[in-house]
Amino acid sequence: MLTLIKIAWRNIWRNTLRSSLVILSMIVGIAAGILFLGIAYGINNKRMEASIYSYLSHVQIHNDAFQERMESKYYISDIQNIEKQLKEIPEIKSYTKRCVVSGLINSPRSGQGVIIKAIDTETEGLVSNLKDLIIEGTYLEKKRYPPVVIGETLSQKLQVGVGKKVTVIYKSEDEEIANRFKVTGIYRSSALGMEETTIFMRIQDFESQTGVRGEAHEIAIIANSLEEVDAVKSQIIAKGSAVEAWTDLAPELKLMDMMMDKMIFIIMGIILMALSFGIINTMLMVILERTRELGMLMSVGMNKMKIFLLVLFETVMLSAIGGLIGMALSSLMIHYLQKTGIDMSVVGEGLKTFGIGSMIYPKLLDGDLLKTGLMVIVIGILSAIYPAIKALKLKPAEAVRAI
Amino acid sequence: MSIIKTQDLTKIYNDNVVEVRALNGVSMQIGEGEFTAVVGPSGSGKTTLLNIIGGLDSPSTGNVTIGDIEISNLTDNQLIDFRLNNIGFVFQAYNLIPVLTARENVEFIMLMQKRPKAEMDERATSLLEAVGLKDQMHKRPREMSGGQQQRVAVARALASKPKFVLADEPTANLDSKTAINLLDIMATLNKDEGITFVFSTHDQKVIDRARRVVTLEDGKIVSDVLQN
Repeated sequence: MLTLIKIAWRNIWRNTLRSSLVILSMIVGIAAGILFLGIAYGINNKRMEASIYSYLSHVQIHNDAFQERMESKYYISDIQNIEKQLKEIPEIKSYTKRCVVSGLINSPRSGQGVIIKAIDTETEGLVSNLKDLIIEGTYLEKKRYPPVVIGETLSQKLQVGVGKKVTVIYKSEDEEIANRFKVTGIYRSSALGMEETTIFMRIQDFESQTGVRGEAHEIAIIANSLEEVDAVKSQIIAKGSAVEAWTDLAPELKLMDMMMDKMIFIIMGIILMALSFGIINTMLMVILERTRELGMLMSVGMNKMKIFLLVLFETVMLSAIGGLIGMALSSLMIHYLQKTGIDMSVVGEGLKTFGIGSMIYPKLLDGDLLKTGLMVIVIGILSAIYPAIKALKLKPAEAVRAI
Repeated sequence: MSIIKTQDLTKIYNDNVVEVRALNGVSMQIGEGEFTAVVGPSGSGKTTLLNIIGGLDSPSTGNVTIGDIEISNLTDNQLIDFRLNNIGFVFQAYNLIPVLTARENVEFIMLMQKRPKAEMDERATSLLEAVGLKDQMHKRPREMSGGQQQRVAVARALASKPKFVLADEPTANLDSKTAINLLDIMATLNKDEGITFVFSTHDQKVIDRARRVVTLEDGKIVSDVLQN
């Protein structure tokens, strides 16, 4: 077996130019494929993170009825007990309470229906990145008027900037509440539609305006890691409330994530299949060139299995060399680009509509390189079959005298 | 005692247009330790006869017995094993494995026979020494002359300890001096080691060195003479 491997290895380098071209095509194909996948994962990851850290969080708790009707009277029942549980679950990194009502925001120029989130400025920062999203003005700092932070798109629509006053009208229980707010900050988010439809106020202002104390419509939780989300969800017992993971709240994001898992098979499968035709062609030429040699091997007593293995080893090695270098090269590129990022600001607007910022950080999923490696081997084996069958069909008496 | 026995061999090549009778009732026996040349003009059936004796081709009718085994009864895989363990081949175009050294080429046959490493080392060295290539054993075929390559091919053919060696036009690609030199080596191995050689040729200088000359014409044996 070792001798067969040695012969196969040396055979590869009998025609250096031809083998190098095959290897080069494998390197380019595999490196490009993995890089493409890395960017696709990076984009997906960014979109997921933007959604999780701006509005989704990992787990949310709502009153069952609030989920259906989104009426302000449906606060989470027995919230003190739930909070007590949350403090005891080790997989939870942080959580925050929010009051969420729908309402209207009006400027002297225009008006817009919005979702108003009344947040605890202390704990909100542990769950969402709202503070970091502010591009103009400051966070919710109380001065004379209650502060409100609005999205960039909404500020353009209402034609108001930082320091301007707006009127926010919402319903609490059966009472309609209208108040003057001062825009203290404008945020920019890549989460789809958020900028136009979500505004933030302080929970203290909400409580003073409505008279409701210590209640919340929403508890947003961040787990230590994505993998611990299910564990967190399963440990919370909240009667009359729905405990939902981000995958329940935004199944389309989960679907994309699952698709990404399969992308490697689709993308690399297509690339490797195309490359396999080149490998098969090369190996057919090899068989043609070595007809006499194969005839001799058969004549002197090399059995069919060994002839098959000889062709197989050579093909798999040829593929594996290109595959390994391609994988190493793409890993290095992705490793580098993970640090520097790829500036996609040229198509920034387009990406924004997909909920993605302009900097993309490619990444690879666990096991992707292993999967690619295995696919390269499988393609190598499959590519060897036809040339090997051709070799096995040679008749030794004729092959040995072939010109 | 004969180790090769052919009985009424015929071989008809039929390409659906023309029927070619390459062998036409060839019966012969070759004894142990013989140094036999099969001669004849091109197309007389020399190569076909050697291919059939070597189990590389099958006869249309008739049979070949090697020792006490009738090889036409063997399956493909049995025939491959039989060739490996019983017959040594020397080809016109040397047909060495170009990526292996002379020594590795000789050892390769023994590797397929799964011989112990020590035996392979010892035998490869002694065979290359016997063909006068001990100092060339680490060279690859492309670094050697045609004559040297064919001597490696002879050493390779002997590596498996075969019952006999079949050499199809072994000197056809060599100049006459090299050809004589090769024949001398083969003759010495025949004389000293008792190895049976059957070779085809149409080179008169080579024919002169054979002890038995079987002449074929149109697929038939027309003469079978012993020479001094």
